[in-house]
Amino acid sequence: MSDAAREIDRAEARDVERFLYREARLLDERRFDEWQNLFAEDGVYWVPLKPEQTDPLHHGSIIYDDRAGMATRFRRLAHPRAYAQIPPSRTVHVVSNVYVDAADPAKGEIDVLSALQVTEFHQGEQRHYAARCRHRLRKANGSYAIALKRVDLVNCDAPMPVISIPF
Amino acid sequence: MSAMPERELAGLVEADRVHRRVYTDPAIFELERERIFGRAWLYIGHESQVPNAGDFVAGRLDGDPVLLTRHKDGTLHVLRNRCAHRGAKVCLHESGNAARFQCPYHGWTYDSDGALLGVSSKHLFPEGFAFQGLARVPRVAGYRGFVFASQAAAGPGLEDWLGGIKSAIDNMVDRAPDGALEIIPGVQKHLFRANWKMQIENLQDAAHPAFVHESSNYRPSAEARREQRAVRGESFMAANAVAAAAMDRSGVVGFPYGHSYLGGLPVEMKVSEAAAAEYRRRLVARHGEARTAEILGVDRHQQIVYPTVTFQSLFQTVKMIHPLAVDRTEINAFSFRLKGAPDEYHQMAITFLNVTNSAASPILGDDMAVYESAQQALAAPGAEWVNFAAGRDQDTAEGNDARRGRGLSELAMRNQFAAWRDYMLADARREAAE
Repeated sequence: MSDAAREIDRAEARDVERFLYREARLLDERRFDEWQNLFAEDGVYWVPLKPEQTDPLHHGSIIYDDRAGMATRFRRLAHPRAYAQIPPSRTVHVVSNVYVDAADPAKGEIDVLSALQVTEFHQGEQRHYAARCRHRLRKANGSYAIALKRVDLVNCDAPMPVISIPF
Repeated sequence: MSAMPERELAGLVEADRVHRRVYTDPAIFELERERIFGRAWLYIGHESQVPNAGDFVAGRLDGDPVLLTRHKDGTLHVLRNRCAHRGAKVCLHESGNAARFQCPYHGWTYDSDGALLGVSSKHLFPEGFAFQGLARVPRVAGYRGFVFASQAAAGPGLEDWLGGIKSAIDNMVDRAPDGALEIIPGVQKHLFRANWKMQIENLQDAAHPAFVHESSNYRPSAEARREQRAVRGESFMAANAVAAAAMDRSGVVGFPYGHSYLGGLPVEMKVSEAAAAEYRRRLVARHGEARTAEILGVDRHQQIVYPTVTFQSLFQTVKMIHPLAVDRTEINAFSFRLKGAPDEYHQMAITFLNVTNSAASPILGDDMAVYESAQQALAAPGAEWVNFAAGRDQDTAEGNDARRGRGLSELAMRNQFAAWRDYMLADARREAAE
């Protein structure tokens, strides 16, 4: 790789990191409308129910939302009588180990791997989630649109208490 | 035998109200384990999980580890997953196929019907030592592919016990063009900190969606609904948004042993017209027009096989309730594929399962919040009774042994507690009769 190409590569990695950090902050600040607007019109948010799951259509998922599904989810969270969120959860999403895995220049898409830790405090109880994430990002208007965000929780097949806030 | 006098227990359940202790007292939970879960038929698994000889799947019987196996002669067995030697689990896998089970501790081996095959250091055991196989659960029976087990050696047979609610299983199987169901892998599991009865009451409570689910009730415009031909989640939430009058018309029917069903709510089936037509064509090919219309005409929302399993035939969803402690419950939900139905039906069952039964379901979260708040509040003395009087004076008899109520009636809960009382006081009644 030439120095110039390496420089572009570094710039890309930096942009991707900043994008993921901003995404995490939007969730922690409960700016869910802005968060869902990070997704492309055909974007999908997927939390599989089993490790290495390949098929979201013929096997259950914890979440498999298109934009309409997200809109329904957040319309509820904005409602004053969403009882599972009285009081609202407080979260910290920590993104790390960001790695640009693959790029498809023809489509303008890049796949980004990251590690995610989420701490949620709700009803006097603190919960911890850990996941490996894959973002498929599409370059758009000088930034990125999320074509796919896949969150593989380490405990995806365990019985879990109510999940209200996206990972 | 129990520390709790029967008279005291009997006083906790009246015709249309129950004492808060039935939800909060750990001693009562222990008695439920012995007298309800220790006697009733409990759902273990489906035969499609063990199609071939040697297949096994791990299950739970009132919280205890069991194995559902298919033996080489084709018979199904429910075995305690516990070595007869020193008690270790003989199988650590969730499912698979095994010629025999070998205990990891000292290598004792067992056949898939539980028979003891081999023992290590056999020459060291005393002369005439009574070696045992894996303990079998006293009674195992299946109904149209669904396998149940009972820890009681005596009692009503499975089909007699199911009675009128057999129709729940019948209709789910009858909807399959090939006449059989196949379990779809992937179990939705969630936990809540409340008594198991909160869940079983809620499932036939048509009065709660307007309140509990106010935040997720959403009815898209007719135009938006037309555009969304694909399999979609929102349409399932729309059913909770229907007027109370429509809920009331749905009706609820209660059977002996606590079983009941709630009539249909207007949940839209989001499959394409082409898939729906093809599905119907295949059903007609099997059953003819009249019988097909009859099968598709059965419109029910939730159907309860008391105490721990529920069926939603329209979406092939089965929900198992695992009581963990007096104030802790785990739910496992999964769905079935209608064999011979177009692929869209498979996808619809998955979408329904995700939207209604995932831990992240926007609907279910609010139910859990209410159960947990009730559990906390019921722990406190002061107001002692929980009421189920709605519709009591409007219930009517149906058939020989069933009762019908309006959709908004609390008949299902009264029916459940009548069964609860029967299970819990059966010994006292037997002693009194002797």
